[in-house]
Amino acid sequence: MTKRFKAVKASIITGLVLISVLFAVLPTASAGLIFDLQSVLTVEWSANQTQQPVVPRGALRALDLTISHTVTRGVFGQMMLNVYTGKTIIINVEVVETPSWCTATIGQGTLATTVSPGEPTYVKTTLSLQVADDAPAFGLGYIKVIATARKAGLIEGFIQEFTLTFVPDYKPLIQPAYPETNTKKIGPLDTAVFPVQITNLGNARTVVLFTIVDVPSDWNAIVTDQIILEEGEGSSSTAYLVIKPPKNFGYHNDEKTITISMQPVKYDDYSKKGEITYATFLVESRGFSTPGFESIAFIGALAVAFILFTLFRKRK
Amino acid sequence: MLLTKGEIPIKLKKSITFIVVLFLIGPLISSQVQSTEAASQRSGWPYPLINVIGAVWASLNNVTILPNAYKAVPSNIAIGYNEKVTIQVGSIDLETGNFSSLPKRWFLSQAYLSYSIEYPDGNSDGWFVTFDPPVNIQNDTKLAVTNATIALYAPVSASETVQSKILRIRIADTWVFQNIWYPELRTHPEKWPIIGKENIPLVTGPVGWFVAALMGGFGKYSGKIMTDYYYVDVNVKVKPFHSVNIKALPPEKLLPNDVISIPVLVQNLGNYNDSISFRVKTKNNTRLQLTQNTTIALEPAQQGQVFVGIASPDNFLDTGTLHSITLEAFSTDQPNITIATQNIILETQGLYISEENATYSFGVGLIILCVVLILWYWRRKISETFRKKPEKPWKLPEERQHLAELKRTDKNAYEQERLMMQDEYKSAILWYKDQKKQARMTPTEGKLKKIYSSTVNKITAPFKREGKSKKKPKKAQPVLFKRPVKKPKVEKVTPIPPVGDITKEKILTRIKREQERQLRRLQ
Repeated sequence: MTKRFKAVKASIITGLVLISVLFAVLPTASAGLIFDLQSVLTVEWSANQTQQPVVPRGALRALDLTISHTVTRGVFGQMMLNVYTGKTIIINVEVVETPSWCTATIGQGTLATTVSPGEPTYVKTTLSLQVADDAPAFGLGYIKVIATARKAGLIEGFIQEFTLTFVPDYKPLIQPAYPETNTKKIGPLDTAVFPVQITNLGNARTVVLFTIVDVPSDWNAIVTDQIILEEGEGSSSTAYLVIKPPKNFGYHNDEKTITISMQPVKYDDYSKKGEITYATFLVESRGFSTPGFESIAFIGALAVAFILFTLFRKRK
Repeated sequence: MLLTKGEIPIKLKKSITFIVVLFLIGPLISSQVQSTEAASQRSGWPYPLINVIGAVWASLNNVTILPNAYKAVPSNIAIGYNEKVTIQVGSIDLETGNFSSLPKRWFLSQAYLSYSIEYPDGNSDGWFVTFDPPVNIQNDTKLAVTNATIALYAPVSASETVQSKILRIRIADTWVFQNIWYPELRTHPEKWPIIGKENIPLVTGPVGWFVAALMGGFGKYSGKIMTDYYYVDVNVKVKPFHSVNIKALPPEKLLPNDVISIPVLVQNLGNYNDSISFRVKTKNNTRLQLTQNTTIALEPAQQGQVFVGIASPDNFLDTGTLHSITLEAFSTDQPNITIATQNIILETQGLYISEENATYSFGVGLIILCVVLILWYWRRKISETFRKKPEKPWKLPEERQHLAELKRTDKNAYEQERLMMQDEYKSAILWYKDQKKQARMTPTEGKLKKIYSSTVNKITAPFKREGKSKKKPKKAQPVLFKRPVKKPKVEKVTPIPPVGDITKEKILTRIKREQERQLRRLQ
């Protein structure tokens, strides 16, 4: 009896020693060795949805996010995973960082999936984003998103951070102003000059192309071809419209309107055009026109006066 | 065999001896195995037992390599502003060099590649890179390749330029391990003895994997997630972008035959140093002279000034003409492509008298003045010839002598004579003035007479006479020799002779006067 007890005792001690030795040999792998259940997330989206530039103040851009969930395990985790099969795992998706000119929201921030050993499970959500007017055209935009699989029982949680990149589209927007006026009263031999100040309200360097749309016959109008506005709100430049009324001999009392058009285009890509803006200027040309004959007329008037004076004197 | 106290039994002695020998020989064998491995390569199998032990040892420390390699195709690209280039990036098979799939491995729960871009110089302005798909998940049949679309846009700020550079694609290779201590029977029966086809006992079976996981140390990764990063560089050549900003100019004014040099501010909006030239054109057919082919070299975002010289035509009088001068900028690299245009609005207005014209005009005026003076002088001389101003009678020497004699002899007669002479002179002066006046009023009459024929003259003569008769009767010609005391003056209305006979009459009067004077002397 004593011998048997001793044998049992020796076996237990030997077993403890062996187990201790085993754990001593594999200290770092001890946890994984036993269970090590952990959620793993991967996030996918369609690159086509981010390749197209996002129009500022345009329609919301929706990105479909597909999140796959798997549970990995250690050497002794199989049984435990079988126990957890079908259990719900909560996944939170949230936007953590965006540029100041970008707003991004997750359609459904909290998602649920189930534990499925060996096979990944998929859940989907939508990320909506929009950009403000001051978003720099084709400047790199990014949205940092974190997907978190919450800890469920002995299944460890998981955090996956990923970054979506996109570029804002070009938004041409100009604001014309007339620092002096858009109406003028001049003589037939005068010239009307209208400064036109254009302010860039768009989000990129912009070329404004000017064209004379409507000018009355016999009137002459010339406008600055183009101006370039730097990027940034408040950037402005001045163009000039010069109008010359008809100056043929005689009395003039003309009131005419001259229309110009202004079209913003992207400075490095004229195919990206904005809406055409029109501006009308009213010019009143009133007065007697003696083009170039003033001096001659003066001399003639003197001669006539002299003749009249002589005749008058003779009569006396 | 009996044992005495303190004596060690023979079996125990053998055991102790074996252990001692084993402890002594073990390390020797180990070192011998290693040296034998090297020696065996040189000299074959000189020690078969040691070689076998070495082989077992090597098997326990088996080389386990899961090679990963990646590449980008193409890895050198050229791109311009507003252009996109798509390249392929992915995992490759090291043997063939071609793109390969990311095979499913039994020891991995999940494996995927995710892509991102890095800019070695830290400047990402203008670049936009997307990956489609953004993640490659392990799949036996699908290539682990993504399409990287590299887009280049003009940078937001003029001071920032995009030039050729290297883009670095970062590939994150993530492995999610499951139990890798041994292949599990439930999930990987193929690796088990008897059942598995892939089983090679003690090598790929559970025992072999366990030994390998234990000796190689990878068993500890069971249930872990590991990410390794790989980099692929893409050499990007950025095409030159030529752009220039010509600042708008306010309208300028110019006098006729004047020259102006208009400064134009120009900024290079391209991405490289550029030589920018200008073509100057006028829209309408003006006679403006313009400077051409001005060139300026500018660095990116640098501003410079060029001058456009304009000379207006020498019009005598310009009442105001608008000119539109178009300035076209082009890069000397691409002379046929206009990269910017700008209008210069110019108004020419004013009066112009050239120095040459002024000089000539002055000369001509001077000549005309001289001619006029000469004519005037000549006319005066001529008129003096025909219409000499009457002389004062009392100043004539004979008359003076006669008056002196009268003064001495007869004072009354002298006084009468003086009065008579004064009347005579006054009358003569009036006549002279009248003649002069008439000659001035009809300056062309003489000419007309020359031109008209005698017939015309005959026809017009009566009318002229009739016309003149309406005028006041001319004063009678003074008669000096008649004494007013003896014969009181009777105003005789004499018909006014025609203008052409005036000279004749005058001569006759003179002759008469001379005759009377001679008679008076004779008396």
